Amino acid sequence: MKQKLLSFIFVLTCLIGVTYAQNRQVTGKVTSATDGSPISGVSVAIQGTSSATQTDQEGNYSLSISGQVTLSFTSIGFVSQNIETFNRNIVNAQLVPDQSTLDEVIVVGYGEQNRTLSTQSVSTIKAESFKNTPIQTPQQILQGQAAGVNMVNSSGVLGAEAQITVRGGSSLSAGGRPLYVIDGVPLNSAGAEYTQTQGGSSGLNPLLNINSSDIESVTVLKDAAAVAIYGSRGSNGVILIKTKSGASGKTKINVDYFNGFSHPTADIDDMMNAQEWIQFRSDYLRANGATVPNFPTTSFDWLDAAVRTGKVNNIAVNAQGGDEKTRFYLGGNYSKETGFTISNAMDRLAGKISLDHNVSDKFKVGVNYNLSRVDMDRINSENSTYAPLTAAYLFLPYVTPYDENGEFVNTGFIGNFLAIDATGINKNYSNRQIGNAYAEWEIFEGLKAKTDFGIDNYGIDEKYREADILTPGGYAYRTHNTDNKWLNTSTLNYNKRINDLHNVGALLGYSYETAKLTQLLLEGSGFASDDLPNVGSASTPITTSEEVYEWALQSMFARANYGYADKYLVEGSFRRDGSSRFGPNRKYGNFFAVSGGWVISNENFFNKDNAYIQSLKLTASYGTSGNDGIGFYNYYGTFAGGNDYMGGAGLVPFRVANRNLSWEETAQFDLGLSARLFNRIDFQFNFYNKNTTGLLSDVPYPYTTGFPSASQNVGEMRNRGFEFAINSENIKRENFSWTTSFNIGFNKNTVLSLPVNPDEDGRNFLAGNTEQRAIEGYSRNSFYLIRYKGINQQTGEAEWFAKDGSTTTAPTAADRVIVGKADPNFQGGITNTLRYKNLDFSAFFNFSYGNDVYLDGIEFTDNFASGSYNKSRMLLDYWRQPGDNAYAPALNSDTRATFAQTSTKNLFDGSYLRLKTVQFGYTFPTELLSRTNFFSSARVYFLAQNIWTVKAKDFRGDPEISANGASNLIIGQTFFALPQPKTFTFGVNFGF
Amino acid sequence: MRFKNIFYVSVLSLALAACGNKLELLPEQDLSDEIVFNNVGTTESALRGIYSTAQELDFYGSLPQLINDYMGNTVDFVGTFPTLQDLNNFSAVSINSNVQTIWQVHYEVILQANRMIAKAPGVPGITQEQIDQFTGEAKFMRALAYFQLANLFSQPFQVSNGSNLCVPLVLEEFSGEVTYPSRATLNDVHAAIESDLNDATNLLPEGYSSPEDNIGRATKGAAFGLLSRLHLYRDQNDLATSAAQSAIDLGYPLTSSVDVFTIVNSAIDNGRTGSGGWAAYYNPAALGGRGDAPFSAELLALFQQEPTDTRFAAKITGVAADGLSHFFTTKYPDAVTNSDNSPVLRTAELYLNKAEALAKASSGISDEAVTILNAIRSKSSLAAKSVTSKNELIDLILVERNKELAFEGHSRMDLLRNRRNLRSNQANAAFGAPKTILPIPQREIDNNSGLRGQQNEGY
Repeated sequence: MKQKLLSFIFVLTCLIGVTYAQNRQVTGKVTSATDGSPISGVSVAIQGTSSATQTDQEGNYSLSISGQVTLSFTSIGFVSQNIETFNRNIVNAQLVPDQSTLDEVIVVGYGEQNRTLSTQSVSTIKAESFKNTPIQTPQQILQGQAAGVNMVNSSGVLGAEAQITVRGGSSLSAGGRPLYVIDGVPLNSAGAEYTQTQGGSSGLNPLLNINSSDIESVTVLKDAAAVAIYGSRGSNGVILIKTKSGASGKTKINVDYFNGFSHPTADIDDMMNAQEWIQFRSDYLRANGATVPNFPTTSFDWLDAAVRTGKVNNIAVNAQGGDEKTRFYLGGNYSKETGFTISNAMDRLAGKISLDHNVSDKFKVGVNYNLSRVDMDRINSENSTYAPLTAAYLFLPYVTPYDENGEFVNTGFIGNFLAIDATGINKNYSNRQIGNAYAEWEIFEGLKAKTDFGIDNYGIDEKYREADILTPGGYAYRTHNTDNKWLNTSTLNYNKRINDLHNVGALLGYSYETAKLTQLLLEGSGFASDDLPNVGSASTPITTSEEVYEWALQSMFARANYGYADKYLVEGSFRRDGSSRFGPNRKYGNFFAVSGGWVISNENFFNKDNAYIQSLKLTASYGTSGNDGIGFYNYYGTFAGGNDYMGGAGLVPFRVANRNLSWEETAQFDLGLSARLFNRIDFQFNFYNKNTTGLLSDVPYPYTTGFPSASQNVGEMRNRGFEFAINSENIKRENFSWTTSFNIGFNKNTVLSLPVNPDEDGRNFLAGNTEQRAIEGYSRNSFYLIRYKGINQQTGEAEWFAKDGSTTTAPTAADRVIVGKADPNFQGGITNTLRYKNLDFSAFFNFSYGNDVYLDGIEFTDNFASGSYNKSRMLLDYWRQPGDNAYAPALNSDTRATFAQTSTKNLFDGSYLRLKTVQFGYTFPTELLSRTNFFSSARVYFLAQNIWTVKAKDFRGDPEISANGASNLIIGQTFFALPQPKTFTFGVNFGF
Repeated sequence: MRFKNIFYVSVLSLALAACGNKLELLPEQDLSDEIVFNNVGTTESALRGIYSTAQELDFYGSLPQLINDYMGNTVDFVGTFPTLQDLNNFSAVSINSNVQTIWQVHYEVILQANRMIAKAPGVPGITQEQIDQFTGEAKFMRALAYFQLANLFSQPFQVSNGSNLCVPLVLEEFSGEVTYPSRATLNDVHAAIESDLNDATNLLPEGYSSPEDNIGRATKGAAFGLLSRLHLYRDQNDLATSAAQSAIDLGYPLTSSVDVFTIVNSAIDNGRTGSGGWAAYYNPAALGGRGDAPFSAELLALFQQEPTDTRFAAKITGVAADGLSHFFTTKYPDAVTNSDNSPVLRTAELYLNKAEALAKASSGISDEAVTILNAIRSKSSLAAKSVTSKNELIDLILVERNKELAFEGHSRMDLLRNRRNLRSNQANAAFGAPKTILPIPQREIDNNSGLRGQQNEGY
């Protein structure tokens, strides 16, 4: 009976369906059959029609159908599925991963490719792996996540530029940054040119204004096959950032909010208090027969005053939707962060709009526009005694910020940062617009013509004011720097699969790009009152300056690829770049790459159904790319203006002419193996050998020429290494899953040749600074130092090793040897993600091994003889009597003034393992939410960053340090750089 | 459809056409070196460029002078820089970065002067008068640079009669071809300085149309004045006397406090850097300085013997970099905009040079020297001294010299050339001790094979 009734109803509904065949909305959610996670970007098409849509980030779709149809769900990497709707309005689908191909679309230069059929070596990090993480800038996404990409935060100052190398640094004196490309727009990244350095060796982060919550994926192009298409700008690696775009279907709104606090991860040093310092100093002076002055009886804990609890607040809202003709994405983000150091704060307001519209079947237009404003309270950093933390470590502990009346005092060279905080202005405002608009026309099936106009307009304003208490009369400066770029890229793109056997692809393109950097600076002093904040009120103008730098790049590029039967793949790419930066004798450069691949698992003899290997591919590539970061007009011999005297304009010799000056060229060979094992492990292995020639070297001249150096393309360097990445679905059950992703990159950097400039042992070298140099046959970041031996237990003298290994108490520069290097042997990361029902947990560690760190600050804090700043408490362990195993020498030893000088005493093993991120989350069940008729998804999460670190036992401070930002020749050094923050955040995420 | 296609094609080709060839972009802040010496105006700008480089911290922007003052005995160094402390402790090493930049900037001045001397005669439209003046100024500046280098990097004449090594002597313009000169002897360097200054006394005018130029640019008087100092440093007392007299005869009365030659600074144009400057080093924090260089105990003791000395009034009390209260000079009051001039050669020095040379040259007590001594004392409201021996006279003149020229970078050489120790009871600061002079910068030895094996003793 029941069955009959059901049949009846069924027939009836069918009849109704037929009779009233009209449009209705069908919605649903597409999830993975393995772990239930939503799948975005799944194409949902009505069979037999051209009507289709895509799932959004939550895996949801919405489609207008008429009657009963069959929906086909297709997504690269999953087995396609056809489901009949019958008369249901909700049709959910569970897709099974396609074990045979695991096809995935990857972003490559000027296009996209199927991962399996690509011969390029790239690393992709998707939004999933960095969502909810309080990161300031997109580079941080890369830390420990992409094999072969070494990203080191330069300091904990908000907005500081990180150091990034892709497969080892490829340059010595030219630009060391990778090329960042956002939605096809190569970003302006003149770095330190945008701001006053304020004592920091690195500039502000060039991606400060990029909102990471609008990023869909970050792709690092690594081998020549991938970077050659970027020609003269590819050799430092290319990082393609793809921002989110629209998807048709019901409009989805997503809100994410998190809130947290931060502390420094480590104390840089343990300093003496006033009592200890005065006692030590008095003992020291007495031991050396000097008079002990009357020291003040005051004391102050400067460190406590410099450090506070940092706070972070972030809200991101986005909406995504559209129909078959028009798709949109709107994103907005407001974040407010105060650093754990006094006076340091950053507010960011960012928005994004993306629109794509199909004018017709053949013609498509779209626009992408990112807008942002960052408002920072800056602090002096690093090598400035006005930097709060630097000052806090240097201040004599009896110096106080206030006088007996409670008024601020001017503490002189070491800045009273409490007074600076209370009375000064140190602002940085930046506005950035990055966008592109395109039109694409499908001339015939497979052939598309596209033209794309892009802009990157970056404006940075700084306002600095010191009150009367710090500079009598007051002091101010104001800068306005702009870097405005526009470019046009036009491409013809052909893709065709012929007879289901031949895959043919071709790309032909032309682009023109130009940018103008303008720097304005006004500086003045002498104000009637501290209440006049603007430099215009200064009575004495000190500087009025305008400088303009313009460059242009004209390029032609092409790529062709062919695949036979999805087994044999070849690709070739070419680019010709002409640049205003290059000297007249070498204005145009040609770059190319060839690559090939063999998909072994697609061979007939390969049994894909075996339990061990489901997919196997071998690739090889060779090609060239360049580095144009050689300055704007450095081929030109000039006298520089602005070197005036007595009111008359003066000129001084500035540069030696070199009409041959041009790009650096890197030739790279890459061998790759990728596989899927045991139906659960994706495995990728790459070996590479990168040879850079024509290195831009500031060939050092004897100063007796009147010039410190001249820019020439000489020198050769090699980076050789291998990378290993694993993604493993260890356990995948309906209610419980555990995945592990692991990557590691080994790199060995060797300088092969340099301009003639031999050291004591006849090896040519190029000095980065006093401690560090590139040396032929060794790393470009070799530490070249006198070796410290220790304190002689019998004499109480500090001792060093002379060059021949004997012991000396008076070493000289001739005793220096190579003692280490700042670049790691290997680095990488490991992430474990566990999911149980609606609970998720992930832990991400990153690590670095084999790099040394030189702590410049110790030359100060261990300075025995000085009475001008505070000292480390380690000095209290000085030698008193024979047999003492002391840290520091005897008070009256001959080496008391040389003990802290540059030597291996201040060099430490910088290897570390750090629990970078831990995240707990709970996702509310969909069934529960559906009852609200309001929320479509809801998740709460807790996240902690940098909470646990393993480092060398004697290391003082934070090992994750490279104070010089994007510098090539000086890495792994720090002068009281702020340690990384230990951050705890709590957040919620709602979908509507 | 066809129309549509035409439309699309036009849009695309328009996009391509919009980009012309624009790769020929030239610098906007610099001038090609080919055109600088093609007219008189830019040539004179290049001449001003020499003075501009001389303003720098590492030439006459106070750093070498500060080092001379604290390695000598007029100030204590209580500042924070380890590289400067090392020099103060006579424990410096050859990689000392301050020493390196001092060397660098001095040779920049020298090479700019070399270029001017080589190029000025060939500048289209230049007059002989201009050639003489430009060349004379360049030679004076080159002499000043070599003199200061010699004093810093080689043992004084008195150690081995000038046969010791000094610095590389480069007198030609840089051709583009790198050369690797070795160190010349002190005598050779002094000879080159003497030759330049003799030329300068012939080529330079007595004065310029503007009173500021009279002290801010090299003049005949300045050349004679520096010549007298050179001779004094070489114990050539008669020559020192006559050179000083030649300068004085050009109109530099003791009663005037006019500079003979100074590097002129202003709020918008000075050699101050983040690292220091005259007012920065010599002023306490409350006035905007670093408080690095207060009065030394020796100088204080000297003044306290005769506290009515009007020069002693030119001081203030303030907190130094060591957090303690000290006396500071008021010679450089402007720590905010750093407009204080850099003193190179003052009228008083002409008379002190002459008095010292006379006193030393005379077999007995030089009456003329006593007269000058007392005139200088009287200028500072001190009573006249009667002198009983030649050595007492020399001592008294040196005391006046120390007090008069304190904080101007004379102290170290005034001690050493009189065979005196820089510190009492400190072997490494004794006359002739290795680290009383600076190391040849390691970077220079690394880059110049001609300097291999020529490092100063002890480095």
